[in-house]
Amino acid sequence: MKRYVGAFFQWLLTMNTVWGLMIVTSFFLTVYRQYSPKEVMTDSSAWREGPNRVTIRINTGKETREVVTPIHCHGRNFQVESARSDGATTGELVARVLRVEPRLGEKLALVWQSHEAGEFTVLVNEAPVGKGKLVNLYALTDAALDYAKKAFELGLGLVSTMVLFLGLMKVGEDAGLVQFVARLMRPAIKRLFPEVPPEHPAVGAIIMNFTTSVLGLGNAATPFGLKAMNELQSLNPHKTVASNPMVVLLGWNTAGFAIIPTSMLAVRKAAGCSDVFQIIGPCMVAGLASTITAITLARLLGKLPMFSVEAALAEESGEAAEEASSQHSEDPQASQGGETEADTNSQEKE
Amino acid sequence: MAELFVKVMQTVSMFTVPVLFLGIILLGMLRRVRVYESFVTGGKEGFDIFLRILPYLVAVFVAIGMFRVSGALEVLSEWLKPLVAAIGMPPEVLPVALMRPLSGSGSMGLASEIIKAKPNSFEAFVASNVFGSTDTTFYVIAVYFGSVGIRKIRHAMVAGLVADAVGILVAVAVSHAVWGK
Repeated sequence: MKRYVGAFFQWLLTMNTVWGLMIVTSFFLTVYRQYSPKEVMTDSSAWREGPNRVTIRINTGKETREVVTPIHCHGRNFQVESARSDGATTGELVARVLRVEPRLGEKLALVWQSHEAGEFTVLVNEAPVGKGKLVNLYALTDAALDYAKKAFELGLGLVSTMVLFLGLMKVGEDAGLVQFVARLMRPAIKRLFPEVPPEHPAVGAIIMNFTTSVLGLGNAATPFGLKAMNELQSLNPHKTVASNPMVVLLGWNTAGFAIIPTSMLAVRKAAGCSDVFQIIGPCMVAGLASTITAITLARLLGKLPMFSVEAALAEESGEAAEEASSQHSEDPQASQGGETEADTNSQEKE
Repeated sequence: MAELFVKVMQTVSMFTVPVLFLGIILLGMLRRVRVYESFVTGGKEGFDIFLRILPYLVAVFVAIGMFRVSGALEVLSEWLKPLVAAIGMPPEVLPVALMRPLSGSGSMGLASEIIKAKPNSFEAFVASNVFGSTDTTFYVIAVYFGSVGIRKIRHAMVAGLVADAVGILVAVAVSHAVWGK
């Protein structure tokens, strides 16, 4: 039993599973939300005996369209009459009222359908009774393309800062400064990264990454962090499997402890909070807790058999064997430890 | 007190990068390093890193984008509501907490909405602290491991997500302890 639970978590907590599940979930949820009838709960007091007007207004982001549906009410009987669309250029209605159903506690559910995407407002006799979001598969496609573009732009934005700080780092290395700082921080580094030799260039990058991220200089922290990863990769005997020091480095970067939550302070100031700085203490405590947890777990969990390098290697070689049997892959060229580049050859290494 | 602390820290942050620049270049020149050539050699790596992380960035962003648009977070928030009441988190803050490991700008947007609507409310206070307590785990994992071609991330995801959860829980607890005092 315990083994299956372990195996399940091992399967669940990989990028492959999480990423795949996110996309699969998004698709099915979108289809469900597009095709299932929508319900808006209304008080029975919102309706009056005789003719009623139900307006469904949909803002698609580009334009606002609305559909007005007359509904005739006789006691508990509702008769939906043919709707008319406001300012419609095509004959298609953006939404259609299906029925009005009595529910528990004097509530009436207005059931309607729409295949549009955007924000909707429902009004009964001009009084708003509900609003929410609509989504369809077009919106899902748009989101995929949109975010792909955003990723590119973000990456491109990183290039300039990366060139700047990596260049600076190289000068510091050549001048011996990075090695000097590394020697200063030796005791701390030795505890957190016992696998890294204290004179290794990785130490300098790790320290710079830590310092800049604690100071809240995210733009500078990422290049140093990536530099540190690159250096750690040169020490890593298995080029496709994360090494222990890498996971520790990731630990504080995912926890993101900063002495000052700069961006949040800006938001609070802009919103006009009476005490903008009140959040500093709590953020620091929470950030510290998160960082300590991340580093502790990074060190401790690595000792579990399910997260060991051997387990990852076994999985990797299993996959490689599958690949090899399906297609004749070329002989893997193992790149050696001295190389800092993680080139494509090293990724093929078993 | 807090204000003074922020002033001091902001000054430190402001000086860090320029001092780093000046210090490194000056020391380099004193030690007869060819600073310009060194800088250019080091900087060259920057673009390679971009090319290496791009597929990872796109993959992660696309999944997050689709996930957000599909409304999965709203559904998840609805399910988790009883749990949230138990830990004392205002229900409005839950989407911020759920979004936090996925997307920095996304969770920032959700938190700002709450803060703008009711700047001096407890909800806004908790939302700020939840946002400030941790960083975007998925993005960091994708970029950092992507840049060196690591495919087996071992326990990095567990450590990151548990740390996020701890950060958020502590943020809520501390908010309760500090609020109104």
